[in-house]
Amino acid sequence: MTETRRMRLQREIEYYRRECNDLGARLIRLQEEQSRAFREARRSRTVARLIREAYGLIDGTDSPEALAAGILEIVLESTQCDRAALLLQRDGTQEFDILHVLGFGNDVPPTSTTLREPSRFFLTNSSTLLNEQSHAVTAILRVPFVLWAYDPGSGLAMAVGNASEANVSRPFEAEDQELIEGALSVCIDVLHRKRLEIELQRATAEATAGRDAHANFLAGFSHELRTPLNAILGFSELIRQAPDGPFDGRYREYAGYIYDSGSHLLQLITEILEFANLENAATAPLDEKPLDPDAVLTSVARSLQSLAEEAGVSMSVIPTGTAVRLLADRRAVRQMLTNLVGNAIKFTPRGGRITISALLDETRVLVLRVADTGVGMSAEQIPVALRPFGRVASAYTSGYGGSGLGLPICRSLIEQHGGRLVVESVPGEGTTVSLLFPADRSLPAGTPDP
Amino acid sequence: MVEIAAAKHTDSRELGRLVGARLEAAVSAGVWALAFCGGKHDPVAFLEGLRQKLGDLPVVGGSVPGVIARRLISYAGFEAVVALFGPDDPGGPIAVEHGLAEGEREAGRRLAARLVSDGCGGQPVLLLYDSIACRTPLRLHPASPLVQGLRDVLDRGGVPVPIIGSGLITDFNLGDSWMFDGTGVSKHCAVAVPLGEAFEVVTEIMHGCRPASSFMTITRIEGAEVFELDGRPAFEVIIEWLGGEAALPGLSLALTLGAKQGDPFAPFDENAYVNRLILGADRARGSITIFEPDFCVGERVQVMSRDNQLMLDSVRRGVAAAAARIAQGGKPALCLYINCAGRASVRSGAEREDGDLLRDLLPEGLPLLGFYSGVEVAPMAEGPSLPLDWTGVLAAVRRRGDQWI
Repeated sequence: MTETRRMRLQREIEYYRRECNDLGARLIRLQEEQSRAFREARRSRTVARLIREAYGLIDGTDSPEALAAGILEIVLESTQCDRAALLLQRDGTQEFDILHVLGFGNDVPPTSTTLREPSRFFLTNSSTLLNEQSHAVTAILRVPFVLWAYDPGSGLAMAVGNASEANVSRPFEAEDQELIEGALSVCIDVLHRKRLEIELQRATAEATAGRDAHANFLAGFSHELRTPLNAILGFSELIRQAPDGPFDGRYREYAGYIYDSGSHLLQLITEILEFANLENAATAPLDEKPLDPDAVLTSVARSLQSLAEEAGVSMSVIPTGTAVRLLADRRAVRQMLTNLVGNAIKFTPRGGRITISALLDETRVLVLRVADTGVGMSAEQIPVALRPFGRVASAYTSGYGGSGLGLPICRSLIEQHGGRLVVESVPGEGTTVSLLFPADRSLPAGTPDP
Repeated sequence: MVEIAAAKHTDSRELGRLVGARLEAAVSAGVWALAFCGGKHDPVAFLEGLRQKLGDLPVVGGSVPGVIARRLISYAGFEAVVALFGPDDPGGPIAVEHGLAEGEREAGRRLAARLVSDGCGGQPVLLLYDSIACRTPLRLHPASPLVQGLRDVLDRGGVPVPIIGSGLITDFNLGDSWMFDGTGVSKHCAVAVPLGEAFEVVTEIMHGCRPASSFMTITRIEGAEVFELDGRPAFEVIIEWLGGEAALPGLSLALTLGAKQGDPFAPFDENAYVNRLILGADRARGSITIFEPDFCVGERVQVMSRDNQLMLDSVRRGVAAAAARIAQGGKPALCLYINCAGRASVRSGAEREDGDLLRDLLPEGLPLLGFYSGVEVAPMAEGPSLPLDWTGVLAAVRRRGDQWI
C-alpha cells in the first residue's frame, strides 16, 4: 500500500469516525428529547390521574382520615417523590398539625410545626435560597428538595419532597406549581365531599331512626287505644241490642251513639295502625302469591254492598273477563280495594254510582279501578289527599269523617308491589282511582291459586 | 411448589401481614422465603408483619424500588412480593456475609467459602447484596469485586458456577438500601442462597443500549473513576455527547459506557456488550464515575445510547428464547425477573413498562417474581457471571432432567 493510499484510508477512517460520533451524539440527544417529552407528558397527566383516582377513593373509604391517607399515596406515586405530608392549620394560629405522612420508613415524623405567613406555593432546589419557611418544611419531610402548596381557606397544606435533586431526572421547577396545587385542590374537594357524604348518611340514619320511633309509637299507642275501645264497643252493643234490659229506649239510643262513635274511632285507629306498619315496611313484608283479581274484586264489592246500600249509592263490578292471575299480597289487594271503595261510598252523595273494574292492558299491566260520581277533588287537592293525614287539613273534605290515611295506605301498598296509584278527579263530577300493577305481576292463565 | 404473593399498602406492618396472609395456605410446608419490599417502608415493621403470618422462617431479600408480579406491577415504593419455598423447591443453607464494608472481594470469598463448607459449592447461586455503602456522599458497594470474590472460590474447578443476583436499592435515585439476611434487617450485607444440586437455571439477558460512538480507549482510570478516554478528560468527552452540561442531571439515564466482548468488529449483538451506567461526572477532576470498578486502562469502550424500542424488542426476543428453552425441560419452579431500575418507564421514558410486556409474553402458569434492581448479575453467554447494568435478567429455575408437565 502506498503512503498516499494509507493517508487517504486514514482520512477516510477519520471521516467515518467523526460522522459516527456525530450521529451517535445526535441519537443520544434525540433519545433524551423523546424521553423528556414522555416524562413531561406523564407529569401533565399526573393531575388528571390524581383527579380520577382520588375521586374513586370516596366510595371505598369510610372516613376522611383514611381518604386523606389514600390521596397522599396517589400523590406520592404519581409524582414519584420520596416523601409527602398533609398538614392542617389550627384555627387562627401559626401552628400546623401534620395529619398524614408517607415515605418515612422507620424515620419518625414530627407531629406539628410552626409557619408564619406561609406562602401558597414554593419549592426548593439547588438554586433557591433557604428561608424560614423552606427550612420548616424541609425539616418536616427531612429531605432538602420540597414542593409546597397551602390553601388559606381550608387551612390544608401539602408538601412532597426528595432526597435527591434530580429525582426522576430533574429538579423541582416553577411549572410544578400546577401539580402540587392541583393535588391539594383535589384533596380539599374530595375530603369536603366525603364529609358531606358522612353528614348525609348520619342525617339519613337519624331520620330513619326518628321515623321508626314515630311508627313504633303510633303502633303501640293505637294498640293501647283499641283495647279499652273494644270493651266500649262490646258493652254499648250489648245495651243497644238488649230490648228487655234495664235501659229504656232513650238510653239504648245513647248506647247506639256510643257504638257508632266507637266504631268510627276504631276505624281511625285501625288505619293509623296500618299506616304505622307500612311506614316500617320491614316489619310487614308482602306475602306474594298468584290470585284471581276478578274474584277479589267481587268479594270486596260484596262485603261493602250493605254499606253502599245504606249510603244510597249503587255499585257495579266489571271484571277483566280473562283468566289472568295477579302475583300480589291478597290481604294488601283487599285492603287497597276496601279503602278505595270505602272512600267512594263516603264521598258519593245519595243516588250516586260506583264502578269497580279490572282490566289487563296491551302491555299486560293489570289495572284495578274504582270510579265514583261523588264530590270529586281539584287538581291541587289530589296531592293533599295523598299525603298522610292530608285530608284532615283539607277544607274541601271537612264535612266527611276519616283519618285521611286511606289513599296514603293504598299508595304505600301499591308501591310495595312495584306499581303506581293514579288519581283522576273533577270537583262535582267524581273521582277515579287506579291501581296499576307492573306487567311482570300478570301471570298467565293456569297459574294456580295458592 | 413455590407460592408467590404480591400486595401494596402504605402501612409497613400491614403490608407484611397482607402478603403473608396470601401465603398462609402454604405456610405449613414453607422452609424459607424470598421477600422484596418497597423502599419507602420500614423493613423491621414489614418483617414483623410477615412473620406474624409465616412464622420464624428464614427470610432473604430486601429493599426494591418496585415489583413485577403476575397481578401487580408497581414502583410506588409501597409494594412487596414474597415467594415461599417448600422442602422440594430450590434453596439450601443460606450463607450470609456482613462484612461488605471491609472489602467486597474478601466478603465474596468468605461467602463462597461458606457455600463450599455447606457442601453447596457447585450449585447455582442466588446472590443478593446491599448496593448502597454510603448515602452522603453516595458510594456503592460494587458488584464486580463481590462477584469476583465468589468466583475466586466457586470457579476453581474451571467450570463457572452460575450466579444470578442483584444489588438491592430502595428507590430510583439510589437513596439507600437494606437487606433481609435470613434473620433480620441488615446493612453492608450479602446473602447467597444455593439453589440445589437438582436445579439448573435458564437465563436470558435483555438489553436496551446501542453504540453511539466509535471505539475509545480508556487511558486513565482509578477504580470506578474514569479520568481519560483516548487521552482526553473523560468529563469533556461525555459532555460532548450530552450536548452540554445542562444535561448532566440526567447523565445516569442518558448514556452508558459499553465494552464489547469478543470480536470488536463483528456485527452489532446486544448480548456482546457489558454496559456500565455512569453514576456521576466531576468537572473539577475531569472524570466520570461508572457503577463498577471493573474496567481498566487499555479497555476499548463505546459510548452507548439507551434505546427504548430496542429495550422492548429485546424483551420480546429474550422471552421467546427463554420460553423455547424452558419448553425443552422441566417446568420452572420459579421465574425471576431482575430488572434494572433505569428501565422503568418513569425513568427511561419508554412507552410501555418492559416488565408488563414480559408478563404478557411469559407463558401462563410460570410463577413470576420480579423486581427493580440497582445491578443485575447473570452468566454472560453461558460463561462466567458478571455484574450488568441496564439489563433485565430473566432466570428460570427448574429441576434438572424433568419434562414439562
